[in-house]
Amino acid sequence: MGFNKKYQYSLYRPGPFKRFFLFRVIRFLLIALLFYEILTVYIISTVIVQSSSMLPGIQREDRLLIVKPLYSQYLFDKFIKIPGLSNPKRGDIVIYRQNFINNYPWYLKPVNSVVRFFTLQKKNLKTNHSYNDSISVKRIIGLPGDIVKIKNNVVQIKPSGGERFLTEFELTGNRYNINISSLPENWNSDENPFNSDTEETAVKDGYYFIIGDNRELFPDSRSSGLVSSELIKGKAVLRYWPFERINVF
Amino acid sequence: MSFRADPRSLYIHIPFCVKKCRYCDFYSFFSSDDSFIRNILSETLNQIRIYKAQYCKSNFKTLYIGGGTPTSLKTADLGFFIEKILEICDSVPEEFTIEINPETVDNNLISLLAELPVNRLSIGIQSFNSNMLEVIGRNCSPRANFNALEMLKALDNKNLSLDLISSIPGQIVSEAIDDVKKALRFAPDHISLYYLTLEKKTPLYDKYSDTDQDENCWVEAADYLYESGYNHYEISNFAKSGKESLHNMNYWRMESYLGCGMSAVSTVYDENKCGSRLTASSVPENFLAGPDKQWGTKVEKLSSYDLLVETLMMGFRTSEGVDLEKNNDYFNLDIRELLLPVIEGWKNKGYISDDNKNLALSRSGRFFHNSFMIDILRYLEKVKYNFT
Ligand code: SF4
Repeated sequence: MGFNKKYQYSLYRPGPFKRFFLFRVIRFLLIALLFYEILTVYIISTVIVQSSSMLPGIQREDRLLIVKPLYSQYLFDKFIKIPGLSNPKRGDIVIYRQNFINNYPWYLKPVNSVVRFFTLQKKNLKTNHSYNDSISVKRIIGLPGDIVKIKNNVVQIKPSGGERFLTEFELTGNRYNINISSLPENWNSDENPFNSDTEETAVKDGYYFIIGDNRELFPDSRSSGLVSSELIKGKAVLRYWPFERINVF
Repeated sequence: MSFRADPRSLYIHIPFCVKKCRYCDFYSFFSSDDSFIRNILSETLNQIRIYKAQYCKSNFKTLYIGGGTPTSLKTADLGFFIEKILEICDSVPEEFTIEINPETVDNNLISLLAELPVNRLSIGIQSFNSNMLEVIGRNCSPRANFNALEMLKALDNKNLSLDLISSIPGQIVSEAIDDVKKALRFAPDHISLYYLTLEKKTPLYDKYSDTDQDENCWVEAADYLYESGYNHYEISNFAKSGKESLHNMNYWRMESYLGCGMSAVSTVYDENKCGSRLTASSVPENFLAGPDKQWGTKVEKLSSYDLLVETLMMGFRTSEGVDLEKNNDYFNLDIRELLLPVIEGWKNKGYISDDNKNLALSRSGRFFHNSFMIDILRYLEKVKYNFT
């Protein structure tokens, strides 16, 4: 009996060399994964724009470089806050998660990281009923302390401490164009129950008023309200693809 | 929450279409009047708000925007409408389906879908064959079907469901199978394969009621799907495992559900196990009269007997069958024992699957769902089944 047991044991146990090799592979993968996580979650990442909501400036399929440490980041599901190098500024193009997007359950998050790692960020874990990883790219218009109102598609902002309302262009120095030409006729007339004009909205601390340059598309702060800084994942600094339209934002 | 007490599914009807298909007997029409369309939508939101407060104790598990053609709305209208629905619902449902017609798929729609928490896209392909599309009067070409599917397939994290129609007058078996093969190229999570019914009062009926429909088209296409690894989980529906439509399962289980919008139907139940089927008006003025006139809603009362018959009729459509535990308890009777004289015969032919929990027709049995139900109804009439 005793002999058999011992015999089986040594038969099925991997030899020291194999064990060592396996250990090294696993260690290497873990370190690579950790490195990748830190790099993409905290330092830098890229996005492929999924929506035309930033037309005319940014098109679908454009690729953007996102810098993370400029803004505060929240690691491990908001447990750890790492302060940002600066605060989001008016006119910044940011990536953020819509606040109705469900996250993966905690136990699937690491699995998804592995999937993304091995597919070069091309694929996410597909679960039956998830809406995760739908990232929006839009522009910050209102900062904490501001009052924002929209009338007839003109965005007006009274900055915190300011005396009067100014348009978004006056405040940002005409750095971008917006698209309102394709909005349906009468969209912002008073008879339209779907009026996206916004009453005076005070931007709370820790929140931002974000809208897309293409005012025809939703969702953004006009329809779903202010965006918490926890949902803002980084600042778009550069379009690196397509090559002929490379530019720094 | 006890069975049937709380509606967990919401259907929202968008009654507008770009052009009427020849076979269609759904309630839909064309309108180019934007403000009329928006008034209907905003009254629909009003109805959702009031119905939810009136009937629901918990949040919706499934949402389904159907039609008509929801995607025929202007992008801004559709986006705003969906956002308002989510605001009223106050939560993101587990399954959120929108029906899409291929000819309405463009960059704007894709953009909207990419950012909104819609996770199931039900695409009305019907056929990839231009002659067949012509016969049923679909406002779409095979090319447009392919293009739309390619664009939708590229979206991350959406379950795709394709609608196909089979046994179109003049269709031959190889054409029906060819449609299925083309659909499978996109590896959809779900396929609904319908047998074309020529509804009276449709132009298709007037034109083709004398032309033969080859039933084998549907049968062979269904077999092909089944053999390709799709669960044939309801007479006309096929899904990869785990991708069955939760919303439709709710209908087939005869759970309560709400329907909002013109001509939409809700079914709710009271403590006496009787149901009410509420159908909102399909006359715009009546619908727009709003809550004061109850949106012109017609109410049909369902007795417990009606409810039992429907539970059987719907349940036997699915591979899951009739949930005996829940329904015995609900109706306070033993359904298996009640139906024993009928199911014995069908069981001997191998058409019944019966574990202790569910009573169902087997896959081959479901091909005879109609005759089976006729047997059951005759029997119930004969024994004059009486509820206590
Ligand atoms: S698109 Fe659908 S609802 Fe509209 S006419 Fe065609 S079949 Fe009917």
